Amino acid sequence: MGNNPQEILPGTLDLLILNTLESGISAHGYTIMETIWSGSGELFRVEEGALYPALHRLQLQGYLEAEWGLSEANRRAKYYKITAAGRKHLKEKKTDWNRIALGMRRMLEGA
Amino acid sequence: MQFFKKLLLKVRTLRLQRQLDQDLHDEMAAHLALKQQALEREGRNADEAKRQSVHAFGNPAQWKESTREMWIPAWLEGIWKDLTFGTRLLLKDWLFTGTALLTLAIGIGANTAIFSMINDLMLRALPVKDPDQLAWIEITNLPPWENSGQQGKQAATSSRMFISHDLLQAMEKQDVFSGIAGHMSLGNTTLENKGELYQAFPRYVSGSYFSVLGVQPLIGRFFTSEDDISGGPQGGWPIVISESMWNRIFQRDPNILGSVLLKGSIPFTVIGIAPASFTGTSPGHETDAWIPMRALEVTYPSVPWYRQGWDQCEAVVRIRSGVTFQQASTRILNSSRVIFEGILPSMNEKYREVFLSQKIQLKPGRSGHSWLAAAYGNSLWILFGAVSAILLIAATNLTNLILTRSIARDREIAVRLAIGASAHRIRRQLMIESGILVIAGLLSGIVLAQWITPIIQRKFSLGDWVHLNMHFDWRMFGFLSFVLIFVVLISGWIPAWKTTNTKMIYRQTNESQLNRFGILLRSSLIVLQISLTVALLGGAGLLVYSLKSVFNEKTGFDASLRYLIYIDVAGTGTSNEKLLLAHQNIQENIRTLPGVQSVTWTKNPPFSGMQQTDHIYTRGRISEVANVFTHEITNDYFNVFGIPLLAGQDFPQKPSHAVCIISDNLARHLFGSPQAAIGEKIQSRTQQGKETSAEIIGVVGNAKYSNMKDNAPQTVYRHIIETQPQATLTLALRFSGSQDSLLKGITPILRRESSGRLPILKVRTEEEILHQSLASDRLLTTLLTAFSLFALIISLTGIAGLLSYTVQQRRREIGIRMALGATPSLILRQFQNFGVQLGIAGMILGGMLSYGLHRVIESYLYGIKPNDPLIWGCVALALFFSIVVAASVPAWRVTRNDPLQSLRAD
Repeated sequence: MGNNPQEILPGTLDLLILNTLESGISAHGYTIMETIWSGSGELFRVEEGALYPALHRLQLQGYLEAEWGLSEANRRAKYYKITAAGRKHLKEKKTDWNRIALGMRRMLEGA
Repeated sequence: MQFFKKLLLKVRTLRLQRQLDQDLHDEMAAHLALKQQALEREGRNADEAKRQSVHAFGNPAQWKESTREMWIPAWLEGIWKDLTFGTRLLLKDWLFTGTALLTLAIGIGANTAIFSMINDLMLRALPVKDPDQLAWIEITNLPPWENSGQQGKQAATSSRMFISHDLLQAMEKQDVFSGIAGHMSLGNTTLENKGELYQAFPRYVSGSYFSVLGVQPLIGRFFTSEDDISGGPQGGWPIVISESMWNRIFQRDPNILGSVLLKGSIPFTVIGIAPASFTGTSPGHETDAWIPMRALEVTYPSVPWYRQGWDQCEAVVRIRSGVTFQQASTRILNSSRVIFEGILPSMNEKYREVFLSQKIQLKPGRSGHSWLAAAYGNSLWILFGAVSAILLIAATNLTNLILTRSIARDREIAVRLAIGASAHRIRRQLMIESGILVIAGLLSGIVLAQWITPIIQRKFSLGDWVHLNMHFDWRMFGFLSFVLIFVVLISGWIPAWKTTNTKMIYRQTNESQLNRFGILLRSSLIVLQISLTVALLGGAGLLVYSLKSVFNEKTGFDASLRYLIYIDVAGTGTSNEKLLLAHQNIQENIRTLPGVQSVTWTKNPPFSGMQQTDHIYTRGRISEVANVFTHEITNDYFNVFGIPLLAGQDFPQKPSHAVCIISDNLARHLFGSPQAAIGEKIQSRTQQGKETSAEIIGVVGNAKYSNMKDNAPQTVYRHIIETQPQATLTLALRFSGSQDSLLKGITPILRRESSGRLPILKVRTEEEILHQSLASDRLLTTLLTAFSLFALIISLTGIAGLLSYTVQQRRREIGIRMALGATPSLILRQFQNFGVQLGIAGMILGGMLSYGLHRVIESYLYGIKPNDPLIWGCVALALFFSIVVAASVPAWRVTRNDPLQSLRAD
């Protein structure tokens, strides 16, 4: 994986995806990817090869649901939406993450 | 739960595998299109945008794969692939699949049908509380004058399970029992609801019956000791009916409690319904209704059911918990004398000792007990042995079929092994293929069994009241699993092992060595098949011959055009005094009907399964004879059945004093000749030890009574007037006309004599009865014949299959030899020889097998010995010629071919 600064921390991809969808919108994989890119201030670039398996895994776990619709380009496209279980999972993950982030900052900055 | 949900989702996806691939493709395409648009918007040219977007995606195949694996675990996919692949292959090879399925279905179907009958009749525990605590009372060491009137097959009179009411009561005090219950049956009867008559088989039971058995009612309540009291409980006599009766009479009316059923003129109030699972304690012989035993005093006032000598009560006990069956059994056996002393009737000093030395024994009661099991049990076990042989033949046949196929696929498999498929993987593929076959065979077998079981029961008229159902209990389930595993192991594993035994494949530099091993394996399977077929065919041949001899036996009476009408006049509530008169009036009035040549009453028509024996004394040459058949009849019996009167005369309409008629063989035995017997006296003793004496007024020809295979028994005929009046008598008529016109004629006569009711239970012909009396033999013979023919067919196809395979293997050689001038007949003979060698080996093995088994069948044979040379010679000859023909067909087909073509092959 190397020192690519755009690389995201392992384990955080699920959190990023769920967070993107938290408002309840249905979004295509591409949209999710773009949202993470722009939302992170162009810091996180999610690879397609990682995004789609993650989306499918979340769907199998019941945190996302999917439906088929038509994209802007009039193609058959799959839209993902967060489920109630997904929201709950997201909340737990957020708490976890905040704790980790706080801890890291304290340690690294000595605050 | 979560796990199953996921598994379900995954399996569903599996089904939609193609859909999933399409979805992944679409999703990716949509993504690429969006990305391309975005890049174009940023100002790149179309080609560059496309290249870049595709590049960014990385290796799409790889993420597609990883996504797919998420949805479908690899092993599941593998099995699924094997399954679909296997099914496709099997469907393509429909001839193979059809043959294999048919043999398996018949083999498994026959096994399932026979096993379900055995299970239902003999293995299944009664649906009661703790059936292992139950036991039946049996009396052994019977006195020589013992009367026995048992249902079913001719029973040895050394023991009986019927006891007197006195004895039942005397045993209530035994402390090794926590309860004892008796039940009694007086045969079929009719119950009346709102003017409609329904046939029923009721049991008269003691008040403790249901509580001893521990059965809970479906609706209402069961009897208590307050219901079984003389005079009946307040509110009238109660009745409990079976679930099927509730269905039949009341259409499952939930408000049935309190409804009244009439038995004769006696009202019975329905107080409860037994659950569907409980149909009495005699498997196969379902009880429709239960009535308190004491109600016999009103339903059959003429029957002395409470008296000693009327030993018609079957008793079931529940052994106290903590006491083992063995302990209880020993205790009761040791107290036999004390118990009998308690009920000692006033009797002659001489006979007291005999009475007191009777023994009481216990029989395990968990499966209930039924005369059906006694009558058919052995036949069913023999048939079970036969169907097991059939299953073995069918399974080995399947092995052979699969081997043929797998040998044909040897090269395919070798290539797969060579390019890296694991032996395990290929073995799994082969096992799955035979698994598909066997499971399909098993399912069709079960369907087939459900279809043939009722046919078997109807065809062999196992009695009107016999209902054996297929119960899918754990025993049945275990049996089917065993069959499944057995067949899969034999027919799946052997070929799979053989084909993928890599050591063997690598060792073989030439194919022929492998094939030789295959042919050896298959030849031994065929020898096994033939030997089993020999045993089955021989057994069937012996039985067919015996049955024919039995049917040719002279019975001593004429059965054609003899109608038997079972009439329950006593059950209409007619009092003891009027009963005899009613019977006499019926006989006299029916005699005058057009078409009736003669008519008589009889207690037990010949071969009806009921029998009675007696011990008699005379002042003749021989002073006493044991086990003389007693037959209770009225005048004209000999006319009806065409039995010749050899000396003296027939009974008068109303004998003025005690008289009897004896058979020719008894007269000769006792007095030297029929004429000498006339005017002599015969003494016998009642149960109470009272002596009775009757004058011989006639001697008639010998006639068989209950067993076609025995000689005609020595018989004493007595007039019904002199014996105890009976519950149900049978009207026997010689009548030329249709059954309908007969019934039309007798109906008004019967109504007049039974206070407006029609107590007809059933109408039969004596020919039917004769046929039915051989039902067990016919069942065994017919099924064994069918099974052995089936075995023969499979074995022959097996031989033909093996030869056609070897012929196929040696086509080149045959071609060369024919090109060099060998005649077709020479080649043909060579293959016939191979078949015949197998056949002879099989026959030798089969002969040894049959010799080992001959005792099993010996008791069923009549007029023939188990080693009859004619039968075995015929079997050997028939088998020999069938094998020659089966062996010739494949070889003949090859010799018809052009030798050049054979050479070019492969």
